[in-house]
Amino acid sequence: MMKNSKIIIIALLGIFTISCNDEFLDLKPLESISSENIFKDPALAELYLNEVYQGIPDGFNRGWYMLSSASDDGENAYSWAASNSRFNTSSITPANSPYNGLWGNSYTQIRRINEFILNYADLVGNDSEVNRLKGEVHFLRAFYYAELLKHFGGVPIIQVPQSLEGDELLVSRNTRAETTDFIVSELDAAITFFTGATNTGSSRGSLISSYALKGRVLLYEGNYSESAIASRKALDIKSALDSNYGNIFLSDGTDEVIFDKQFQDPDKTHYGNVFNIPKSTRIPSGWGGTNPTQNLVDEYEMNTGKMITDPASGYDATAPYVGRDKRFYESILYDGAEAYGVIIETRPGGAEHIDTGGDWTKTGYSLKKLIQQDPARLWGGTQHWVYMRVAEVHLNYAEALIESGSNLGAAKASIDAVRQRSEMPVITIGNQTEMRTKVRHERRIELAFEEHRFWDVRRWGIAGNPEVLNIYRMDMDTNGNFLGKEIWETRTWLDSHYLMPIPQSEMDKNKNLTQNAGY
Amino acid sequence: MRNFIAMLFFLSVGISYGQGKEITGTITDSETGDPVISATVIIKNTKIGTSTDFDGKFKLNAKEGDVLLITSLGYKSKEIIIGQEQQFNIQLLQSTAMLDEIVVVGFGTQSRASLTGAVAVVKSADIVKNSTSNISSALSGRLAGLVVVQSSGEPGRDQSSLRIRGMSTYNNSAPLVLVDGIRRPMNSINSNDIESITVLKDAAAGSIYGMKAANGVILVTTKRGGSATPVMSYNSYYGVQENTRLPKFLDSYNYGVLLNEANTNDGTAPVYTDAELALFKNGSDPDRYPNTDWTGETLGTGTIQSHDFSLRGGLEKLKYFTSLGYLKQEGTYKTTGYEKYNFRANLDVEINNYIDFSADFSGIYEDFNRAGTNSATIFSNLMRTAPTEVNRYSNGAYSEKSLYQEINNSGYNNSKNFTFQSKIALTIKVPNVAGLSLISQVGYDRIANRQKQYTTPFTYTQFNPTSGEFTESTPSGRGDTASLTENSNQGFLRTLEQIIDYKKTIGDHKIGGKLIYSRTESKYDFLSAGRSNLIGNSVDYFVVGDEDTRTNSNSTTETAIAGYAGRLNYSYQNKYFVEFNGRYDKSHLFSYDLPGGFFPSVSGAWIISKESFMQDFEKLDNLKLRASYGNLGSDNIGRFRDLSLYYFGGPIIDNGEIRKTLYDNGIADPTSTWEKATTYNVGVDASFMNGMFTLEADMFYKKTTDILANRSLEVPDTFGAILPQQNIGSVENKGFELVLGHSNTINDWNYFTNFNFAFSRNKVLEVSESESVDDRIKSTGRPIGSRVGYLASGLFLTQSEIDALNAAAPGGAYQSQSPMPGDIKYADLNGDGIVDDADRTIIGKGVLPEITYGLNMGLSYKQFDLSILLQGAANFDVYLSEEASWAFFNGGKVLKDHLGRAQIGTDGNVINTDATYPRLSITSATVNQRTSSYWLQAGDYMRLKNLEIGYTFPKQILNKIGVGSLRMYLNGRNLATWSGIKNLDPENPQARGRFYPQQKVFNLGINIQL
Repeated sequence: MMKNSKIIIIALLGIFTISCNDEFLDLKPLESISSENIFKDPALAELYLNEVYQGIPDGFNRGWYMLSSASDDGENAYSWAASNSRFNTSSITPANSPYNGLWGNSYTQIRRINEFILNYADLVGNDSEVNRLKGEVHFLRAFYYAELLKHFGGVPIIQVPQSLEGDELLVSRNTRAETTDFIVSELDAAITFFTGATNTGSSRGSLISSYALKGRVLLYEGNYSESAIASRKALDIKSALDSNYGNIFLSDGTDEVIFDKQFQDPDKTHYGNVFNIPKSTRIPSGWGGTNPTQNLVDEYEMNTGKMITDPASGYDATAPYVGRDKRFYESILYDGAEAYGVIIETRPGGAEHIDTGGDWTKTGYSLKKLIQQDPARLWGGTQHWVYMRVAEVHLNYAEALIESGSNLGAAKASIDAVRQRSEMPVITIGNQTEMRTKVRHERRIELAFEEHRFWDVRRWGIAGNPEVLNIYRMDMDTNGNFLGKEIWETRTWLDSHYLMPIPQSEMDKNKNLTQNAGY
Repeated sequence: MRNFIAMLFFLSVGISYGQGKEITGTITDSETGDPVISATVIIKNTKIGTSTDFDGKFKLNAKEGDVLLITSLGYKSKEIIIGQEQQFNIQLLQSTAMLDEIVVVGFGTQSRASLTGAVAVVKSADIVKNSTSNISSALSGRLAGLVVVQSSGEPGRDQSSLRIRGMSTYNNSAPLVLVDGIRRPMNSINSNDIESITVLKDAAAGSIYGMKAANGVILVTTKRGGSATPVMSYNSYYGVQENTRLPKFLDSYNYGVLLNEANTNDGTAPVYTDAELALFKNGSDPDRYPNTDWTGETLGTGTIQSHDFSLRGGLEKLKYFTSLGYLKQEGTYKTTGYEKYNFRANLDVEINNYIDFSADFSGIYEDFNRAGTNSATIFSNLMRTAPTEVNRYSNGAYSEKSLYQEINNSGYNNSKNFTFQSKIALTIKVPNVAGLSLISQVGYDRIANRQKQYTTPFTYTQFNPTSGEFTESTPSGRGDTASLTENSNQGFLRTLEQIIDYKKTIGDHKIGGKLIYSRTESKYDFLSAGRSNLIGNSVDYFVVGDEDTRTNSNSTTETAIAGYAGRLNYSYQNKYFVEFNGRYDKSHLFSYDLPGGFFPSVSGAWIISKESFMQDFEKLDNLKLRASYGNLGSDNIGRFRDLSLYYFGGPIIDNGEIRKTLYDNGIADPTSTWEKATTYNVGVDASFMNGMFTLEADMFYKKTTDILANRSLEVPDTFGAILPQQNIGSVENKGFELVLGHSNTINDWNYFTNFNFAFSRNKVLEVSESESVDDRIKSTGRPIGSRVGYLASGLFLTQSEIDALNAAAPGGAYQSQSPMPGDIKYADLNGDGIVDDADRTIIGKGVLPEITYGLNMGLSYKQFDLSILLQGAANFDVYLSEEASWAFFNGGKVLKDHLGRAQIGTDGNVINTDATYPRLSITSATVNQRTSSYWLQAGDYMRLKNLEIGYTFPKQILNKIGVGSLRMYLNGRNLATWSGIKNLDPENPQARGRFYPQQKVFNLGINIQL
């Protein structure tokens, strides 16, 4: 017995010694890879860039509302105040700005981009593939800086990934002009790489998207002649429009789309449908979401090409929804519109009735454009978000020409191209002021709900005008007789709201940043 | 139970002497029946007395009306009033506070007298008493310094969060939990299996657990075999549960009145006519003008039942404890419930004089049944849906708003978790070296969890108020087809420990030492799959699913930690104690190239009452001072933050193709190490009059440094990368605990009372915050989790008040969002005339109570026993917003509290200047919805946590039917709650208040021993 015990003790002490080996603590991650190969192998590099594409926000959900609800085109139906109300009551502050997240996200993506650019010389592969990736990354850098420029004005330009220890992290803002120049140079670099590279479809940066973005940025910045040149280059690549206006937003891969963010069930879906489908007592209800205003409805011309205020237009105030611009029917659900297998009734007491509370439509209208009507798609939208399309390039081109006062004929041709797709009569050429009115009207109608109006009223300096601030809804009796319009809401405006504030948390951390005026 | 079960049998001989008589008696242990030797028997308030002999007998002269006071070390003292009897058989109850009580500590046990650290213990009887389905909730109010917050009452999800001495880091502050020395979750253990739970509060007690001990340690110890007589026990209870506190919503009529008022305030037409309001009131047309009590019609009561069967005993060389347990808890609605099956076999074998062997096996099978719609959604709808919506139409069909279908016909979400736990230990007492033993133990636990979610479509009925027709419809968003997801998680946790233990007594000197090597590894594999568009609603297997909708994913998680620990203790004359503990730990969470961390502690105790100069204080049995100092660690960091890695993510849809992405895990910092907590503790234990009064007090100061955090409050977002977890933060936490006890026995009456009170307050010392952050909202110098918001200074009462402020404001507006009379007025703290972000400040107290207390009282008389536990918390604030507090929020309803709203007169000013809620509004309520102090409420509460009345059947009767003991009891939990928070349970998870409420439970129970 004693002998046995001794053996056990020795064995035990043995285990004690062996177990002191601690190599089992050196665990390795099982589902990841190290950085060495990522910037050499184009296949991995493309996955890396995919993450940067993934960071691009879509317009279906800017925080439980669509941006058009923060413009005179829309109102949000929710019975609680979504953050669009902060724009409409001009109560944006550096702490509550709905765009505070965009600042951080943009710089996160820019760092990824900078890391890629720092290393992309190591890429090994065929030239057209490698050049495509290089083109894409410069396009993406321009895209994110363009978003920052649009929201905040001039921003700190960071081109190389900073290190936590060495670099000066408290960056200062570059001027608006410097930022613009940088974006343009990035797009020029992208254009160089893309020329002669394999081009892919609209979900990745490409030659045409680089030109189109360049045209848009320069237009926003008032460099009309350069803008027109860039847009022209884009149109030289592709100028044809799809025949079906409504379908552009519901089908991936239509010709007209230049740059988009795509979805697919079940892997990646969005809530664009449930947000915007009207509340109803008979069809699967959404949350009401974006309600087109009477202001916008009245902006749709008659199919005669005349505004409804024009006595010669053929407008009948007792049948306001008859004989309008074809795009009206593709964009807006009104009392009597056919959708979801029913005739929509937004009249008081109707199944999708107008109301001041609940999720019911606040204006008497609901969104049709961009929305999938398939009930199976209610909670998982699969339609893409279109960032840029040929019709916008036409209108950017036209506006740039009109503002630079040159070649109004070409401007007319581009506007007409857009109108003709929707069977609207061509416009008559006029002087610069008349043409300006026409192109602005055309943008509002053609690009409605695509996040253009919000920025257009700002860059045109009309965001504080009464016609933009006084929001109207329809007036209708319970029998569906249209009684005209009535005021729904009088919004307020502060000139500081031309730009978004730099987030307060960022101001707190970086004493070298200057806040935008008025915040 | 022995505290409460009076087992005093008086045999009287009816001879009276009138004045002075000789009385005789025998004193025995109430539990074992053994004679109590040298117990002191004196006549109270005299010097007359004697002590018992070897047989526990005594003889004494006394007269009628005298009071005998019997005292003996280790027993509760007892008083007996002399009547006509001459012969006494007296049983003494063992004292729980006795000094030689054995307490489970890290890697061993110690007598309470020799403890040098801050340790709190709760015993089996008190754990079982709370009749909860989980252990953590049973600890509420029982242990000084343990903050227990139970924020849900959902069956199987009602476990409490535990914090020892509050929070000392802004990272995870959950304590380390060990069951029989192995890292295991405590909640699913059968509460009847538990012998004791020890809470290690300070560094002296905890440092033997090194890098995992900074938040304190909870040691759960299960029962082991016992004496030669096998004891078979059956414990069972059956109870009914109901919700503790639900919001008091207004009925349809009042809802309508307030809704009209809100619309009037907004300048829009009222929603309801007076005629309609009258219909709501008289209920004559319930399909069109209903008055639905949503919580009343949807929620009900559920039952809870528990059965536990155990056998405990020993043979010559074998001791055993085995048990089978079953618990079933129903929910407040039918489709939610929890079932648990436990088994255990704890065996101890003495192989020979030198070798002991023990083997513990236990298993837990848990079945969580839930409705296809989760409880948060159900309660969110209950909190929101207006009384003017129909639940069930007059034809018996359920409406669109009804939750009946969601609860009963939406499928299910079931989890079935199986856990197998085992531990084998071999103890070798080294021959020829007295006191030296070697212990080798291996723990191996396996889990196999499976979750299945089956979501089915369902229909509801629509009513057309115009035509009066009913139609069937499908709810929005559910689609027409069912879907199915299954998840499985399997894995193991393996612990290996080698211990060398040495004890020796040389005269007055006692020394002890321990050396421990411990390694713990785990690996879990997760697998998930799903399909949708299932054919039909009856087959819940993938075979009926749509191939195009197949999804699947898997992952594996591994962990490893190794440590060397040691303990050295020395005592002199059982009067002076000193102890050193330490541990060197190395974890896979930190760079392998770094050395591990060392966590030492030193502690001492001095039993002053044993000093000769203290012998004059007769009533003082024990006075002990304790002090400790030491370091503890915490591995509060994500995995592989020392390595620069890329993970696969996505998907993105790239021109119609599903593609992956690659993203980095952020900036790696291979130099990051564990958090370090330095803890000081001083304590005093005292006991008076042979345990009649006891006192335990501790004071602590704890400073946590090197808290793992990133510099996100300092590094601008323009940096762009996920910041590394670095050792940058620092928090201090200080407080005290006090436990007062009193127990006594007077004739047939035994009673005790125990009051525990704890206070802790933390302060952030360093959080790498930018200096330019306004002092008012700085985190530094403030408690963890302080809320930032506006300071509300009441409501605006008149327009002229607003106008005056606007006139003085630089931009013409004192407060944005155009407030009106009846809206909240926010304070302009910086005095610049306008209220903006710069006026935000820290509002209110913290989320976690600073004060927790419990008052535990017990009384037994003959066969009856009674115990009461009052438990409470104070010094914290609850922020209630949205559904939990705002009128008409998101189309929601109104609470009784909203009747106190500010009412607006024709002049636009507030009529009722004592309004307790702002002006009602639908469209401009946001002006009142900013985060402000207006929505804070003191969370202080006190509960009647537990009340139990028991009856033990007399032994004489039981013996005839062959039953050892039989006790029946009535028990209630959460019977009453006192709190300023009237609409929700005070332990609610705050903010929106959409949660499964805590339960009030009434039980009838039985304990039988054969």
